Amino acid sequence: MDTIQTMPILRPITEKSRALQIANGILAAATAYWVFSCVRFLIQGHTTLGTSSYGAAWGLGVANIVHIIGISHVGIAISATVRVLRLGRYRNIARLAEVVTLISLLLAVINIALDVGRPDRFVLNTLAYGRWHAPMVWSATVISLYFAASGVYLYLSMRRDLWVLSTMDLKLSRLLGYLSLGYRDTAAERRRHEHTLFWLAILLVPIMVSVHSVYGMFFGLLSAKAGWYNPLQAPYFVLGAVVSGFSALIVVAALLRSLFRWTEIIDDRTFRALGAILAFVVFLYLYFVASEQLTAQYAGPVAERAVSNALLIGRFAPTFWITIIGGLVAPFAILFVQAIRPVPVRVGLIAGAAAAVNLAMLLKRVLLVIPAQQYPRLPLPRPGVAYLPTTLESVVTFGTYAIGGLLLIGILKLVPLVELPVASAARRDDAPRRGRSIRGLVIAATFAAGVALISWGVLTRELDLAPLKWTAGLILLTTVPLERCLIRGGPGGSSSDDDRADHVGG
Amino acid sequence: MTESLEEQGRRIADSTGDGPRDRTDAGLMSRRKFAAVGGSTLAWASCTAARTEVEATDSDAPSRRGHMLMVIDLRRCTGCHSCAVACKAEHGVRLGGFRSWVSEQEIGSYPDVTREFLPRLCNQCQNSPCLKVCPTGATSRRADGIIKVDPDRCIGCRHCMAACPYNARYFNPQRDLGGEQRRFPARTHGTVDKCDFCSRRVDAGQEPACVATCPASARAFGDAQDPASEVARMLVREPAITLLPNLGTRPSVVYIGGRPEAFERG
Repeated sequence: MDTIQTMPILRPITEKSRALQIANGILAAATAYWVFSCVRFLIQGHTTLGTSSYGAAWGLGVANIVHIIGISHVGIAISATVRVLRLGRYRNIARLAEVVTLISLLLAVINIALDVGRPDRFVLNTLAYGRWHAPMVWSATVISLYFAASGVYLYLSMRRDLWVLSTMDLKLSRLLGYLSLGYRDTAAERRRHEHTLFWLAILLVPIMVSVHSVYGMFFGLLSAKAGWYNPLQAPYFVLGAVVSGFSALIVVAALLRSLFRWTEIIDDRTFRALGAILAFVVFLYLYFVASEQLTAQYAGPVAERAVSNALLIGRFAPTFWITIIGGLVAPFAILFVQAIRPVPVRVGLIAGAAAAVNLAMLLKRVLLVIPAQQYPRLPLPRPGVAYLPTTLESVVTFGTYAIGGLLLIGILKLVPLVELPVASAARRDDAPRRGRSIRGLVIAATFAAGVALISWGVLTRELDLAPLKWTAGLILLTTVPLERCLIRGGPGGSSSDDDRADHVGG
Repeated sequence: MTESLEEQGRRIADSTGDGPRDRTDAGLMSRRKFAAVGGSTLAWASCTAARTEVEATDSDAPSRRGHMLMVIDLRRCTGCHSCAVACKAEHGVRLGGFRSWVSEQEIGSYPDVTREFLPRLCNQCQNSPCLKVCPTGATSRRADGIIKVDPDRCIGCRHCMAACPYNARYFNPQRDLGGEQRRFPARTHGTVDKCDFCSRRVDAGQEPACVATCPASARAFGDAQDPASEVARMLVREPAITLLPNLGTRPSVVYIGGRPEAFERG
């Protein structure tokens, strides 16, 4: 099992990396400073921020939440595409992408908690009293579902690797063995995992689209502010999520590649392909930007044009044009050349362009959130405040990335971030066992309970606790794939179940 | 706009439930006669009516059904900001926040310039964008149409502030030192607050503070569904204008006798 071939993948686990230790130290210090800043912020309140009632009620924090949620999209998009379209070549980045998804979702929730006025009650009140027509409640619902389903997906796709590692002589082998929850790598088990993951991947794509659409609707449904009210906001956000997700993935992949000398594992071709996809979506994004601004300028109502003018020639013009030219057009040119010309792939260049795109996407979110609030339709009670984020605000907002870095390093030291190649043949199936019927029963019961909870929540949507009901139901449903893989059935008893798996999932 | 202003005024008066003309029961007739004695005594009349009902119900519960509405006569407003001051004093609104204020604007070009005033407050929209986006039901509509914020339920996400086209809402960013927060729920830290037509005063049978204090009697407040009320009669008599009508929010704050649209940036 532990052949030379698998060793480079395990470098993060087996080797001590000086660079990683230094990074750990810096990130830990940054996290400590972030915690200190958060305490200060929570004691002194939102007055320490640049946001205000008559300037921008939503500031950097909200822009950053949109950005992180956007990054979180990438895992599912990539690994679902890889799995569903059987792009075996790109399996090397699928898991990394999934891990980026889970970490950024976690960071997004932390950021939301820090942005609301009452972190002490925001989860409880949203679940207990949530109104079905509020985008925040939709967001709580789909993010919970997305987090649970991605977690299940990541775990199931990793279960075999956990088992492989537990058979090796590693420091944490015993822990990993427990984590694999009784996986034995039989042919039937492998097939069942593949089959389950295939369908889970198909289900995850619409969930991902819904999450980012909901974030678009946070703005697109509000006719109050010029510059937001726009039916294209949902697809615009999904596209923006693809752009920031892919750019983040390229940066993280390039970092890991240089850190662990993974030139063979994440090869040039992978970067060329990722760069090509990024170039394509950046181009599409620019098209959306142009279409949006043309509409506002052409026949735009006065308020719409005021916001658009502020972006194109007014107060926000420097940021806007730096974002568009430096962060989208120039990287597009680099990525385009790298993708189509038979030039040697320069990973550093692609990663640099991707980093620029990622930063530009953050700025673009700031340019979406702030200007619309700065040009109200009616006079304000007092002169409006030009929004400028404070230092504390930036630390509180971006400090979460340090936690993300620490989490990534932690996961890196624990499990392989690249799928281990399936080198060995599967073990022979065990003797027939009873248990298939039990598995079927449990799955049916879970499914029924989940659907019942969701329906109960939807039917009693005007009452308290409705969001809790349907969210619990949805999360219960995400355990169905877990049960299918974890509850040991009798593979030999009747092979019909596994035969079916063969020709559907492969 | 195809609809004439007068028609619009009538529509606003009739818009919730049964219109004024449908209500003919004896109690209302007597109140109508009572109101005929003098326009300004009407408020007092509705006070007595409300008071009897308050006694019958829970003090937190809305005292009556109907459609509470405010009419502001811009010809009368002198721009003295008494309403803003009274409101601050009534609710202990924090510095930097406003439930009620007066917008001022110079309109026209030299030499035909006028300085116009536009008293502003929450429009208590019947199609409220803030109510739709509130994730916790902290923003709710009472049976009499008043939109209230429950500071114990609000999580301070500020989506309602983003959704309000009238900038009627403000955020309490800071914990109060001292006991102010307990005295004035409007100061609850980390929550959003806005005008609620002084619902506590309304429940107690009083007018909102801004109406009671206005030295020019520019404001009238009452139930638009009650044909005897001052506001209902004013709406039938005068062409009524609401702010940002094209957003479809159907405000319950109605202006007469001025050009509020000059303040809008559409």
